[in-house]
Amino acid sequence: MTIETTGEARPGLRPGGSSRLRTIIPTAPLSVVLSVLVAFFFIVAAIWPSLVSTHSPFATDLFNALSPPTPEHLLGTDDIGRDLYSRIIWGTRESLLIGLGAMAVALAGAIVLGFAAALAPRWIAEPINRILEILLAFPTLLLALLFVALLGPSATSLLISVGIGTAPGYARLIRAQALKVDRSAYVEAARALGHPARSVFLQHIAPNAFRPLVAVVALGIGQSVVWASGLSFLGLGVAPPSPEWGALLEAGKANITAAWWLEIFPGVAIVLVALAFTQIGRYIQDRSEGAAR
Amino acid sequence: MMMTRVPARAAASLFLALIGGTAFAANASDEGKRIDGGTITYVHEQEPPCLWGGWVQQAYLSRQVFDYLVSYDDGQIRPWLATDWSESADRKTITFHLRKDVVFTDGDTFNADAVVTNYPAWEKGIGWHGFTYMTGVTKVDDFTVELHLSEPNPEIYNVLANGHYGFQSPKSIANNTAEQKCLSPVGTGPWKVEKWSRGSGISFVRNDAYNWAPPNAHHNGPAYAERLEWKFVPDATTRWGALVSGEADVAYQPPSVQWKAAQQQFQTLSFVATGRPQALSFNVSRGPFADQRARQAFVYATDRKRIVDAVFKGAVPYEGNGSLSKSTPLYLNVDDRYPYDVAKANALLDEAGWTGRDAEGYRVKDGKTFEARLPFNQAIIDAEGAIALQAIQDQVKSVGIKVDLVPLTQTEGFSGAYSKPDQKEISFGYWVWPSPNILDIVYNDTLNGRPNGNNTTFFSNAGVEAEIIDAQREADPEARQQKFDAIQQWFTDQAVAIGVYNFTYNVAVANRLKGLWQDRGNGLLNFYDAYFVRG
Amino acid sequence: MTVSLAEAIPIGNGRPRRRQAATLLQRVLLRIGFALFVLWGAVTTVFLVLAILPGDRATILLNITSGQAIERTPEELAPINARYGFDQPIAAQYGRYVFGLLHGDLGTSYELQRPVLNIIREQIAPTFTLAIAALALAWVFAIPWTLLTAGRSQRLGSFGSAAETVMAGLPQYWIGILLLVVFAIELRWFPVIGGTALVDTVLPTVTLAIPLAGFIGQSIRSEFDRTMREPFVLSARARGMSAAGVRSRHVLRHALIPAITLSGWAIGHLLSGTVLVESVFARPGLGSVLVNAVSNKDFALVAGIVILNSFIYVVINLIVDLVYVVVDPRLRGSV
Repeated sequence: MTIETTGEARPGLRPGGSSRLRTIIPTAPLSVVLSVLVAFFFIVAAIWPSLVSTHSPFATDLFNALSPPTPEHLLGTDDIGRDLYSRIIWGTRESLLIGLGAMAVALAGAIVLGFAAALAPRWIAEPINRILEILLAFPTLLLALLFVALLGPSATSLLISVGIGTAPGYARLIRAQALKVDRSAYVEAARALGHPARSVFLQHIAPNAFRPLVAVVALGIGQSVVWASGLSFLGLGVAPPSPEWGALLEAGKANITAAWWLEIFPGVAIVLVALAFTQIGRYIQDRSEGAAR
Repeated sequence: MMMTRVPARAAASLFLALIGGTAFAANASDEGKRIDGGTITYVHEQEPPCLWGGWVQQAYLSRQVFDYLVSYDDGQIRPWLATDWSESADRKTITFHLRKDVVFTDGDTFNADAVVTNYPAWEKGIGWHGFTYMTGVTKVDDFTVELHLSEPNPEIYNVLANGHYGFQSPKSIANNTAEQKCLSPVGTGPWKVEKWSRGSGISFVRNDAYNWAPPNAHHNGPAYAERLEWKFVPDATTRWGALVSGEADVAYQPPSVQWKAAQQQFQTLSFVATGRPQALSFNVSRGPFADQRARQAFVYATDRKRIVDAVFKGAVPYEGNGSLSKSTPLYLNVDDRYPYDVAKANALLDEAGWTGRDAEGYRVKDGKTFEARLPFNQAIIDAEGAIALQAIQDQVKSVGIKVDLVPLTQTEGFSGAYSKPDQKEISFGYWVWPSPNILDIVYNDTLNGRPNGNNTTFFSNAGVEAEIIDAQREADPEARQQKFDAIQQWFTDQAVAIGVYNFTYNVAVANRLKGLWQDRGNGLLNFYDAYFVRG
Repeated sequence: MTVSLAEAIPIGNGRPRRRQAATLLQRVLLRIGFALFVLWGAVTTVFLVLAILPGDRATILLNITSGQAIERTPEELAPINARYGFDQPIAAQYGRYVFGLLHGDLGTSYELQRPVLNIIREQIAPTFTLAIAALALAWVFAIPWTLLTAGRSQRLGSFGSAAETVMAGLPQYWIGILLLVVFAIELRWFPVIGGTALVDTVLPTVTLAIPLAGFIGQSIRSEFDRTMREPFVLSARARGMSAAGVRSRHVLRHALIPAITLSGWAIGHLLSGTVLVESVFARPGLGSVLVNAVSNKDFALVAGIVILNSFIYVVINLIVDLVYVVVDPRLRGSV
């Protein structure tokens, strides 16, 4: 997805780390505080699931199958008695990893391609632009399908396919931003003053090209999680018994008329993660822009 | 939406039904309320690429537009397009006399030439045709043909009746394009294809000239309903919703969680597919399961009955036999051979030398962990099947066996991935097949001189294979049953393959539609006899 | 396709008319040339990737038609390979395909046994109408909501923004299933299995529209907020225009530009968007055809769909550029 922003270039902003933090944190609105708490919870769940889960995610209990939420099973159980809450917690690691990993892959590709397409000499930039155009014309779904087909269903292939599928979109964003910043008055001045190209790039162009994209990236993490779970839903995802959220949603839909909790709660988890990361990202972007003003 | 307008030819159909009705197993109690005409809406799960072919999903469709030489009726073979037949002394040639009044929907005549013309199409279009032992068909006279077999096959009639061996008109075989033959083949059956909207459904219209139903049908003459709308709806909950809301009259495979409700609110039909059930097939040629004790331990460690109950909630029966399903001819019931017994499983594993334990608690022997790869094709094993596998995985963990479930995409699965002996320890899958010679297909270690790809246990024992062929050739039915019983018992005791559940065709039918039945050979739905009732 | 303000303002345009027309023609031809290049590149990439994918097509075909999943002997595979030309080198198959393309022949799907053109022709309408309807509905949600909640109090703004974020984060298949179960199965307000009638498309359209509305709304909103701080807004108010007038007549227009790009992107990616919805609501459409085609390594069908998608992408880009010009007069000189 693309969110075009037309923020103008700011002078290269590089305050010390702690003073930047101080400009961001103090007067955070309630929604951001909540988002940070939610994100923190999920990150803990990803790193140390046994701390917050109540059961093993794989332990079957055929005598308690399809039980609705009870004190013992906070969010209910599935067909073979596995605790849904624990499965969601243990699934966080995979889902978040896929989301973050996909974003990392996408950004890596997008940065290289986007900046090259904008700033490299013509004989490099033109072919890259053409390749970008071709990739953009490709259905994202197809890119994802091809990579899963190539690598087999697994968390890694989901990560790579979603990453590569979304990279061209980000590349185009970065290219547009880089072009804009490149032509701004400030950068021209820096060049006129004789600063070497590399430091112009690192100190002025790169940070300013990125700043409007922080919110995009944060939103993108949530979107990658959604996309990856969509592929799982189509049956192209991780191997069972992995409790990756998309797999949970796919398994839950067969029982939805009798066991609604199996389909509702994993979806809520996905939405919460997407929401939390987006709010945080947008807040950081607003504050850093505000601080730079 | 269901339309119940009464067409002008109601009187004619009623008359035909009355004169033909006495010879057929008609359902008298609803006769008075029967509405002639109408549109039956059926929601089915999978959409095959073409209407006709070797896949069971295609048999469902083929049954509507084709007829077959014979019909299988719970152990009895009924005449259909063949009026009678006789076998040669060596039982390798069967002479069929054909009906003389059968006409294709494009006007072509059904006769010996038509049968002979269809044989090459069968050979080419049905991937497993070679396993039927059929080698060819020859014409004797205009309405007599001879079918040639390489081996005697008492179940050849089941094969001919199972929905794949229908007849297309010679005119269409010669003149129609591949696309036409794929989407709307021309047959003699009670329905013909009006239109196939890919991704959506097929519209069938009644064949008004139809007059050659088999005696086990409920009536003769054209179908009662005028149209059959066959819709493709991959999601079970959606199919259920369509039935409940009245948009569909018949729903295939409702979600298991609604099966009990379906039995209370609607009419239900259930047919256990013949052939191999969904069974665990162990790689007996190498790896941990080369040892019989390890195989038996695995089986004792799984409470398969309870797993099947929990996952399928009564919609699908448990099956203990790993080689034949409950409805297959000559089936032997071994459901209680391996009751759930964790202590016994542990004892067997200790005896087999798996006494060490690794960091995660799995058993170790000679430095190697007891690890079993179980690949499964997601196009064949559905979501509930996958959950049953996960339950099995968790249960054997408690005796120290590690199972790795490997889902295969349709491409991987159908391109033969994970099919070599060094790539997996357990296979899982079913195979619809009408006769016990599936034991030959599945346990023979060679096929036409090359390694047999259907042998997923990599079982190789010339003596046992000879016994199977001997049983197949046995002429006396009782002796044959005994021989196959012994073989099935042997495979069960050896735990080469152990069943988990049967592949079952479940159907829920709205109360306003009566007369729908599943044929006893392959569970195919006979919409031909279905009719709407008032009130 | 974004342009900076610096690029957009023409700096003295003194060229005579005829030469302007000539360069316009040049530009159009160049555009078409690029478009063809993109199409060719996409098709070639498809061929290359499908060629590397594991799985032998003849084996797959034999297995699918018999429901088995085994390795096949060369004797079994030979007739299939010969019939479809699978045994020829990839370069030859590619060459034959491109040659056919130049004659307007999209080839035949070996799995579905039909010309690719027929398949696409049948399936494009449901997918396309769904995507367009969803986009239109998304705009209908987004604009009033943004107008209502943006550029006013902080509270209202963040509430509006939070609502949009939630909507954007909802997985489509999840909403789809919930809507299906609640509104079709339980409440029976809509049919469960639909065809292409209007009432059947309501739930799928709403399902697709909700996340889109979230994205579009966010995009409009952030631009809206930014533009509200521009000096010209204050001067318009000073000249006596009402707050509502300023917002709807001036600010909104500026705020629309990124959202238009987003919409162009959404249509260009309609396949990816609709496939999950098609699966949940049992609708026909190119998304599920594509998934199956990739599973079966059906080169011709995948390539055909890619060509279609690229073509739509190129056309949409052109339209979006034109819409830019209409919406933002500052850009008129530079297209």
